Formats: sequence, structure tokens, C-alpha cells
Amino acid sequence: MILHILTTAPLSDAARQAEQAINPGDALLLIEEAVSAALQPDLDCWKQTDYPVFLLEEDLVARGFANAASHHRLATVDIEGFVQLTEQYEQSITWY
Amino acid sequence: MDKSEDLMVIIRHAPHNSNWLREGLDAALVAAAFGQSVRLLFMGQGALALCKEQQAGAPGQKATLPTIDMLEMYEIDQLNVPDQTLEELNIPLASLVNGVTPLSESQVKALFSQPRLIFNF
Repeated sequence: MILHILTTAPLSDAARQAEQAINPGDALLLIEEAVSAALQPDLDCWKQTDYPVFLLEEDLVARGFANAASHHRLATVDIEGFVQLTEQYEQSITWY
Repeated sequence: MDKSEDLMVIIRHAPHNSNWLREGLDAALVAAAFGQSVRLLFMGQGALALCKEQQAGAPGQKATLPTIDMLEMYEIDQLNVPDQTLEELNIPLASLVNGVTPLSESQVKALFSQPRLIFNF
């Protein structure tokens, strides 16, 4: 049960490596540059149902993607939610 | 997969371009020196660290191939690379150092479902 944290854009090396590593029952948290995934609702990560995917609100707001995320009804967490995720999953791995 | 190792270090950066590779290898060696069993997983550009024809490179850029060769001395003999990475980089297994075991997609995923400490470089 791993929380995978991705900080780079969709289709980047790190994003593809995270995809190779993630298992059903894990979770994927998109922060920093990775929140640009909110602009592309047809990305694989949004289509699959093996693991939940969250966008960090603060980074969405900073980049002006908050409306896009809500328009596409994508799951978000704020910084407290981020902390709760790190408590909920035994381990976290950051892909940068 | 037998009992999982104490530690898996993921190496994702190529030699010479940055210090990430050296730091990842150092972390693995330190853990091994303290008696931890370590597995190395080379992903993406990290697989280039295993090319056996590497040289020292420009002065000041410490070569990393000697470190790769030293892994065996520290009993780090689980060197893995995803098949997918070899295909994407178009590197044949024969051009890598000995002792590297390629893994299928499901084998790579299995590595991440076993309880162990994971460092990501």
C-alpha cells in the first residue's frame, strides 16, 4: 500500500515510471507540475479504477487549473488531505 | 521472488549528467555495508549506468562504472531493469554489465508490492 507522489508533467519519464510501479490498492497524488494532468481528463490515470488519483488543490490554484479540475470533476485534496494520505498509506515514494 | 530484500534503490538517472546516480549507488553501498540486503532497479535513463563501455569521462566527472563493478563486492547482486526500458532505449542486454536481470512489467509491479524500504534516485 504505497502513496506514489508525482511532481512532473503527464507523459514525462517519471510519470511513466510511476505508472510502471503503481499497484491496485496504492494511491497516486499529483503535485507541483503534475497537476497539469487536470487539463487532460482523457489521460489513462483518470480512466483506470485500480487506484485513486488526487490533485493537490494549492498547486492547482497556483497554476490556475482549479476550474479545470472541478469542471472535469477530478478528485482533489488540500495540504491537510495530503498529510492524511501520508498517514493512511504505509509508505510513500516520490517520482520527480 | 524469494524473501524481499531489506532495501530497494531505484536508479533513474544516467551517469555523468548529474550526481543522482552516484548518490543512489552510494546509498545502496552504505546500506549493504551495514548488512542490509539491497536490490537495485534501474529505470529509464538509469539503465545507461549499466553500459559496460563507459569511460571516466571529462576530468572531475567521477566515473560510475567502477562503482557498479564494486556492487558485487558488497554482495549486491540483484540488478534489475524493466524489459520496457531496454526496448525504449534500444539497448541490448549484451551491452550491459554482467549480472543484470531484465524484468517483465508484472515482475516490476511485483517488486513494489513487497514490503521493503524503497529509495528513489
